[in-house]
Amino acid sequence: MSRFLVIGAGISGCTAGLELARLGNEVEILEAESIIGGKVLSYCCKATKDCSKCGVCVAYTQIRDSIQHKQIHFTQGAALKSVDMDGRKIAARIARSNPGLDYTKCVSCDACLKVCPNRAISKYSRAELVQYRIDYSACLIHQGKACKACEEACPSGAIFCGSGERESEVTVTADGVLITSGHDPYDAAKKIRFGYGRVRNVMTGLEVEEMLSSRTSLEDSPDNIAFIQCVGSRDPQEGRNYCSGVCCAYAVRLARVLKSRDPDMQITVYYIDLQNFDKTFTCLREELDKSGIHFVRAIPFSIEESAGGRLKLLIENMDGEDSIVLHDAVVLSVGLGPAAGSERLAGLFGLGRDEFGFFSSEKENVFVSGTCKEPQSIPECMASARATALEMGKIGS
Amino acid sequence: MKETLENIGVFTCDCGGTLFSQAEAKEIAAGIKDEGKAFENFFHLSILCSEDGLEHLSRSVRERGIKKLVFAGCSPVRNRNLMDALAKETGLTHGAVYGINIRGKSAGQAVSAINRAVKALSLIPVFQTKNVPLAGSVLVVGGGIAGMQAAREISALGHDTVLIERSNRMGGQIPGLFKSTGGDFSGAHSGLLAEVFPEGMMVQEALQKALPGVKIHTGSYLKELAGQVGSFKAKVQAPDGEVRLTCGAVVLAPGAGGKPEKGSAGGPDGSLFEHDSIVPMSDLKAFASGPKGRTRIREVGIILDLNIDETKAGTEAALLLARSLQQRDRRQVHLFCRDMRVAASGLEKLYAEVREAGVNIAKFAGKLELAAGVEGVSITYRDSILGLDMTLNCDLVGISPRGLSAAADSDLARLTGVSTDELGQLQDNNIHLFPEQTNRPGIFVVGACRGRHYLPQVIEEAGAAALAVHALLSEESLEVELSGALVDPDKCILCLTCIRSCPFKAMQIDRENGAAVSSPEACQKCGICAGECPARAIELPVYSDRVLLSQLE
Repeated sequence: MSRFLVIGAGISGCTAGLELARLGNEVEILEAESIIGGKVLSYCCKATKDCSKCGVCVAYTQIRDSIQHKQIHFTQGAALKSVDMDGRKIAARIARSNPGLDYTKCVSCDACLKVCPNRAISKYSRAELVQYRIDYSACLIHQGKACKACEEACPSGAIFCGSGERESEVTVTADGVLITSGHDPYDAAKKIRFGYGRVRNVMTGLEVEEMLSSRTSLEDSPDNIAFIQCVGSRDPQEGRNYCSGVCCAYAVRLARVLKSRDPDMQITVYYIDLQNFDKTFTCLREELDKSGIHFVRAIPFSIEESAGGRLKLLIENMDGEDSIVLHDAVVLSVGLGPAAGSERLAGLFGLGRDEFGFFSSEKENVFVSGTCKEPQSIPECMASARATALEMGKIGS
Repeated sequence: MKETLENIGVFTCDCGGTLFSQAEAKEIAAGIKDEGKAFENFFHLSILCSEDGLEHLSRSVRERGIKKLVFAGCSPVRNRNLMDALAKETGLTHGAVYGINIRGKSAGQAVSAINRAVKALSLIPVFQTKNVPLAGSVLVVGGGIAGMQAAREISALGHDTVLIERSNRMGGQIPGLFKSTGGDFSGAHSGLLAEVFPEGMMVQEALQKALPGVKIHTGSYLKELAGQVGSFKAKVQAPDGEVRLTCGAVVLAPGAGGKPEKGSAGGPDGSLFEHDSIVPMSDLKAFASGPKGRTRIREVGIILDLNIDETKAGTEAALLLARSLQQRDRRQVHLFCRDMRVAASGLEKLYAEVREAGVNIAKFAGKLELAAGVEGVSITYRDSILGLDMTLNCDLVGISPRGLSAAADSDLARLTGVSTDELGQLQDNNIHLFPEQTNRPGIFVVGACRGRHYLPQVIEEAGAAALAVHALLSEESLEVELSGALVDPDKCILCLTCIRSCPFKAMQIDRENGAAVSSPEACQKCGICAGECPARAIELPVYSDRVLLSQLE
């Protein structure tokens, strides 16, 4: 039996942790947020009359199984202070935020949430996954006050406040480390021409996911909506000359969901190349041709608000003349880039990164998986995490 | 009533006082006793899912001789792990544990829900369990890179592994890929591939070293697969006779393109290749640069997405081939595709290099037509960038095999009972299963047969499949509850409807009884057979008519 440290409790970290635990190892997973699951928690199911195979529901079950697994220990609100890589073992100094929450004991009774004097605890509940989010900035402990209300109210001893300090420091020694620090979506505001953050009804695909996952309709219920692909992907000027792979998938799936909820909605997808993201993509493409969703092979140059409140998209044509198309709302399909902290992690563990900032090397006992290595879909992350766990299982023991 | 209720226990849990108050707890207790009359085994716990709670519960189960239990507390769906723990701790089967959610219910509602559950449980038999011995060995079908990688990992995890390959050589598409791309494709120089195919040709000694312990039969194919997970009975046709194997699990990695056909070099649509100027993409390099007096060849076409959309692996191969023909062989290359699939590391850059090298990229919409004549091949299409109908002439055209068909070996699908998707690839497109899982427990699929061609990904998924096999076979035996579909032999008319409709191949004919029977290790209790049976001979004991009727007020 070996002991592994996993950095990042997104779908990759949870899946790998689960496989490592099932192979009989002890696993310690660090997560910077107070809630386990990473980006996937804000994604929505994209089924219409049939499943669109986005993988979100499977991810929820993976996360649920991992947080309830007895051989996996999670540290939420964690920060990696330093790493000692001398010798075969790796020792990591970790600061964890109080209060901590142990889901192998949590009975999801809401007692903590009800007693918190500052309402710092909120509930996350989706399908079979229930968690509690702690807003550390609102928590009295973090404001330097003595409070153990949640710990005292918890009937199962799942919440622990420590001895009143904001952070507790621990050292974890491990035979191997897995980095699954994930990605950050491209900051759409950087593309000033698209007016994100400035022009009303210009939103990102992730915001649409969140709107649909909380079951409300889109803001202002637009009748005519456009998706713009490759925002922050395949863009040499931005230093992001790579395809993010997942944006075609989520945009097409979201477009199908919107169209099935409102068949009269006009939907246009502006794209460069549609990526083959599904096992039966050919059938999907044929279905899309008949669906009434328009596909236009062009990326608009700019978005402006017109006098009537609609959005004016400027499109360059092949013959050099520009045309203007009006839509009510625009969804920017933002790509993936390495997470902000990956440079520091690369330094701590002595790993290389490629020209875009994705991890490009591993070590004998330091592994990398998931979207911090390259853009991947949820099912791809899971397969890759499982394969990495298999490799890791071979060391140490 | 008393007799049937005697062995039923009712456990309520107030979730540390958050589900209901002590006063309500008393009301519920009184209500249950009142309605159940002779009902003795009622327990109230505060946190049933804690270690203490579970211990208390299992002690009560043992002491009182409880055979079935109702557990009323939080959602049984959310707490599937708890239900597993309950069954494990108490030694009761899953079918004997009936969970109900009383969160947010009044005491009165909770009492009637509990009483309904007791009623249902009294009509559900106590199920026996069966221990299915798990054969330790594993059969891997297909000697391409997917099958080899899966076999290697499975063997390394400690299982006897037999690999069979239909053709006489190992490696599947690998040698062809090396030939057409010069070995620059992703994944060519790492792991198993680098060990066994250092220059694209297999090194025999390296093969044995790379797959220690794996028994390899080339020139062999699967003839029959009977049985279920844990003990499949396989008949393999080997060159020197039939080999019979009993294996706990099967991994299918036969590759794409159906059965190899003569002269088509992998493409099932042989007719396209009757003309000399149209060849499979893997042969293009040899034809265009080879010594066969083909110096007249100036314009070369590469066609992707002809019928089926290309994967990123095929796109990478085509881009590498196009660059090499354009730069090294000094041909003018036209690359036709619907869309450029560049969703993999380094592909965007390669695509840019190919354009810079002078390759003409034509993106077509709708249908692309090929007409072969004496002058070569004319290609007619609608250009989706220019919005114009175009015709282009090429002296030689190479077609991606994927563009013709994605289907896997249909014979193999039939004899293993693995479902196929709309394109004929193995495994129905169902995300609720992990990528390597199929409709048949114990049978897994990897690689091109399920539409995966990109090698780094294929290798990862083969590893994941090995883990799945290991998770299944790491126990000595598989405990199954005999609560699956139950056939009444007197009513069964042997119409085979259940056999046809079962998605899991769990139904078979029991010749002794002259009736259909379900195999407990394969039955997933979905109820389709019970719904389809015209003679109404099949029932799921947990959802029998009697149980369902008892739930109506």
